[in-house]
Amino acid sequence: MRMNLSKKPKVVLSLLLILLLISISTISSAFDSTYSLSLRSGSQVFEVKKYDEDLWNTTVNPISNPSNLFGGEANICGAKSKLVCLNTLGNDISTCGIFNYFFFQWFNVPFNSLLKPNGYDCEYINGRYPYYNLIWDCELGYWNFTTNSFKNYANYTNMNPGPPHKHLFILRDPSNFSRILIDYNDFATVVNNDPTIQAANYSLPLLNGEEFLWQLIVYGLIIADPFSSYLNQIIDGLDCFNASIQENSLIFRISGEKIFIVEITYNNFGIMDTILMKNIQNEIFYLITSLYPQNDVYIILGLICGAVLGLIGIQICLKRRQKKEISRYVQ
Amino acid sequence: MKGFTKFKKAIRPIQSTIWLELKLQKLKFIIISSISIVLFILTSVIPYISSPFFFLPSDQATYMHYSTSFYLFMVILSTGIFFSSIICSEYQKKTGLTIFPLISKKKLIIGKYIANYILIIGIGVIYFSCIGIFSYYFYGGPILYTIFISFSFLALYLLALASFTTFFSSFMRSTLPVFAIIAGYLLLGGLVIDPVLRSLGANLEPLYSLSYLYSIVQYTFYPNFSSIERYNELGNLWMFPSAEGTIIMLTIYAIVFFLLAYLIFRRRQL
Repeated sequence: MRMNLSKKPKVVLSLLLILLLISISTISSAFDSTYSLSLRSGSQVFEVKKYDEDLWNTTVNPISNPSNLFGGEANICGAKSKLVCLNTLGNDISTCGIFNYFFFQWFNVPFNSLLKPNGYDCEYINGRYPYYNLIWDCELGYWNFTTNSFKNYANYTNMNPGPPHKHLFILRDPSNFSRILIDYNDFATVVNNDPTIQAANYSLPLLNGEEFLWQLIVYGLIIADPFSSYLNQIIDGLDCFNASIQENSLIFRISGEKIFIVEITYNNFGIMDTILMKNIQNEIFYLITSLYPQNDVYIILGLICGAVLGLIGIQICLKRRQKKEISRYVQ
Repeated sequence: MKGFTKFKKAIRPIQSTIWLELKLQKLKFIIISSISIVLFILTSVIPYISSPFFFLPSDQATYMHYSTSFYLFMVILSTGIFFSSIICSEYQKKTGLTIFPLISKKKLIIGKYIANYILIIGIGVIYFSCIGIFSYYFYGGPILYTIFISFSFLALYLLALASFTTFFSSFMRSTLPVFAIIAGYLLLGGLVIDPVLRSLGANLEPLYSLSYLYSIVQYTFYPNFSSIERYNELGNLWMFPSAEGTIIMLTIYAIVFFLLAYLIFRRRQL
């Protein structure tokens, strides 16, 4: 018994030491990752607040409209779209996976019918660019812009993506964007120089950093926290001289028919909150804002709690008055 | 006019019984409502809020479906607590000599049945309101209209289960065995009877099973409910009953067991 007692402090001490070591290692590993995920399960509703067709035509392009960029009925004021974040998982993705998600989807590249049969399959791509990117895989449900009420099932989910593909993951390291672009342009050059592909009269488009960033924005780039630093790293890596960052906003100068400015503000989850397009005279011709159903629920829950507390208060007051009346009656 | 006054006079004892029963069961109602809210939050809110790595169902209807899976326990608990004592407590407390000079057995059972039914429906309303509020929280608007269809089936289901419980309460001596029988039948009944029938080669749709009938409450959340396959050939399983079949079966359950309970109660001496 005495032996046991003398051993006890040593056991406790060693256990404490192990716990301390575990906690130190977890803390240090937490500090290792520069960016953190702030995406949470929940919904966000986008609404087209302003669309000036004439200004759009004279500034951006007379043959296109917001539907070409944002899909659905994005060219109608009051149209709404919905994004539901279902879950996120830590994962990694190969270069071929990235090409598939980004460029092949954006430009409708005939990967299976043309590139694969000519030897440009995933094995080739991953062999030439053997990098794996750490990502947060986000499962999203996306409802297209519509003036009708939303249906139960999303237009696009990870299980049923369909074109156009919405961003489904966040790169943990934003500096990877520049490497992805370099790899893609290299791949596109190789493919475009292939006589068989040339004979098929097909070529992959080459992109510069700004074009790549614009595509990322159009397809709903989601970012990690701290947001401004993440965005800064992207625009620095992609050499986007026409882009700048102000807090959580990305400001982008684009030339269409005339030069115009696109301002994208990110919310606390790393998803776009507002998309504003204006000309250099600061005249806004297109605006998308966001609504958060969670906020309505907080108000409803607050009201319910208030009502319940009020009822309890009334009940207590009534009982006290009853007691007073009884005691007065007894006296 | 005379007939109406007579009717009013006749239902007055029922009204009084309802009010008295509602007042008596107030505390139980508050406790069970609180439990159901806590259960809902623990099973259908906290997992999705606390961690982004927890899978939120892909659509509102599926979320509602999953949320009502756990509600079956609350259905058993609330029906058991409110209805298991509906008749047998009168025998246990020997209230016969005090009550029956004032009110008939028929009016007493009707009054108590209605009052307790209002209470369990109230708990259902609270639970379904939570489902509606949090499906809006996670998926935004509009809240699916099918929540009302599902609630209608739940109301009918509770009516049938209430009659079933009242029936057992009419001849049992105390509340505990009634509660145990109901819970056992609902939770284990399907597990025992279905495999036996299946082993006999009968691939009958288990419309007799109350736990099977409950599945319609979950499946009616889907807007395309009528086109979903009801029989899973791979698993050799019936997924949920048809709307017509459920309405007929639950109505039969509600009427038959209530009448049987009343007949037994009338014959039994207090």
